[in-house]
Amino acid sequence: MSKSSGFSVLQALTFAVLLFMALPNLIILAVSFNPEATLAFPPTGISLDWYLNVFRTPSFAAGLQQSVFLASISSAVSLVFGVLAALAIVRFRFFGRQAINALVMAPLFVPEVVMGIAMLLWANAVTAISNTTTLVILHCLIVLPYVVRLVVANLQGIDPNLESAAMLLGARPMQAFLRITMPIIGKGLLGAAVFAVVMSFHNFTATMFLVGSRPTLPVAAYQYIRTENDPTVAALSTMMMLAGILAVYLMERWIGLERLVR
Amino acid sequence: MTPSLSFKKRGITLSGLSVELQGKRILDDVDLEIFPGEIIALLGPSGCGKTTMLRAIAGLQRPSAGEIVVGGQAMTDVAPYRRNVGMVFQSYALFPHMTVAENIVFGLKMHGVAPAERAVVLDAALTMLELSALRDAYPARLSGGQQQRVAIARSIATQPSVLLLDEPLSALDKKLKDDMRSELRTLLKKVGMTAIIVTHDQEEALAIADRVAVMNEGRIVQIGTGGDLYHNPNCRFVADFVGYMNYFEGSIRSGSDQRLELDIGDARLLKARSSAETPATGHVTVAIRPEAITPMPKSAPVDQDEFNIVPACLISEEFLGIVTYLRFQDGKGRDLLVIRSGQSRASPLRVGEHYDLAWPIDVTTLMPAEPQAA
Repeated sequence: MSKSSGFSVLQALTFAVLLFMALPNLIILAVSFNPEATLAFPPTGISLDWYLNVFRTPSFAAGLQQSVFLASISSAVSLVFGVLAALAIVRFRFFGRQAINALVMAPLFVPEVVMGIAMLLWANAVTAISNTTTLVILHCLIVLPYVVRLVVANLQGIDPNLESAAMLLGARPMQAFLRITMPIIGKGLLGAAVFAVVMSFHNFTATMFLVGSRPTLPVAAYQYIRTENDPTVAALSTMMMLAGILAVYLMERWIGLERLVR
Repeated sequence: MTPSLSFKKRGITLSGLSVELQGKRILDDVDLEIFPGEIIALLGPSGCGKTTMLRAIAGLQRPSAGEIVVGGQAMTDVAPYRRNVGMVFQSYALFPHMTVAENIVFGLKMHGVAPAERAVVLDAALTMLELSALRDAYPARLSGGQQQRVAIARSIATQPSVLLLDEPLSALDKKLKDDMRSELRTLLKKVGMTAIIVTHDQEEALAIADRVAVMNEGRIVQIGTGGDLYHNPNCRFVADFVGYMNYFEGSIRSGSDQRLELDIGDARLLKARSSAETPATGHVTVAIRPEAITPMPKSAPVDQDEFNIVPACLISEEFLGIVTYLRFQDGKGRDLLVIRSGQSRASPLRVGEHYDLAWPIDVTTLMPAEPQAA
């Protein structure tokens, strides 16, 4: 490059902003290796004890199990309903279409605290419903807007004549959808699924109100840190961050992130 | 032609076809008879209902009234996937996740054709449209012209009874468009299938189709060969849509079996041949194509029995190479366009001079007078 060899002001600023954004996480990373039993920075040495302790703590294993369960159920359910809702919103012009669009998007604008409290009150009123069911419903509600948004964006990018062309070539409407539309939005659906899993897995605020005897992983981490001051949670956080980075990397490799941020 | 791609020629009959969308009549009581093997162009401005008509024939748009009959079979209530109608979309609508070959055999798969037979038809289609080298390419990597050929190959692979083409050339650039025009007609004639092509481009319609149906506001205004429409337009809309036209408003003064005399004001009379369609009396619009008019020097002798004459002043001259546009104005301030061949050996004209504009009475077209748009 023919530009000046050193950092330009713009490059320096960019680097500073990136560092500012990453710094808290880097501190967590550093703290997680601290050999002493305190959440303190800077660390006094290097140790992997707290990583081992993550696996020795039973509430984390149970939390992980509960979080994976919730994330898979809620993303699967919201994917099915999200695709159907997105199809209705994109393909058809009917009375109440805007209202449905607004309703599906509503959880985005309701504070999570409010959602948590509302679900709690509702679950108490409907006594027949189990705690796990309530959590599944809550996570579906949280994840649905993102799924619908992504699927709508993917569907809008498709020429509506593609299915018409398929039908004129002899495909029934369902065949046209499965053979033409589905493969085209397939990658978008995969992206939406990953996004849904991540959103459900990381949810804390609303989930907090509804956890009973089986907390999710973020809630388990919160409960741990209320009684213990050792870097186990820092080690857990680091592992969760790495998993997140891996997910983003794989999505970028397979799908291309621009499909998600449209 | 390869025996694996043969087509039954089927006629199409539309009777009283109407389409209403949100209370608006997009197609208004259209009758149309298309002969087996004929290429028909639907020509009109955007919003005239031509694409809606195509979609109704394809079964993609439900008519609110009327009948569609293809090859003697009523199609009005038949689902699109059972109609066996081929369609080339304006956007081509190629399946982006399939290769050229997969696009072309998609219809055969849907119709349950055995793989061995599919391969034979695929080869025939690839050869016919010169796509063999591109069989494994994805549509995104193809040029506009190549995409169009794939769209045509895909739509004829199932050997449909009718081929519908919606603005098939509009996505191509000017040069390619001109090349594809004659290529498309040659191909359609080679295949020999009945085809309907929708276009807003008069040159395209005249060049490709056997007959052209000019449409406006949901109706067919006139249908005929390019020559019919050009030489005998039945109204100003058709006359203006296919080429330029000069007009005089006038009234019929006297008529015999052979000849009408028309008063166009300014104490001037024009003559025209009477025909079955011309009204016997009343107000008419007189139309003359610009290239039919010859400017003559004031003193030149003209056979008054065979020619109409209007004196006019030359206002401007535009030399465009193939032709020269001459703009005249007559005594009543009416503008007249004369188009002269660039090869014309006639003596040069001078701007500002007065000439006699002469044209044979045979090419004087009459049409019903229309209420002038204010």
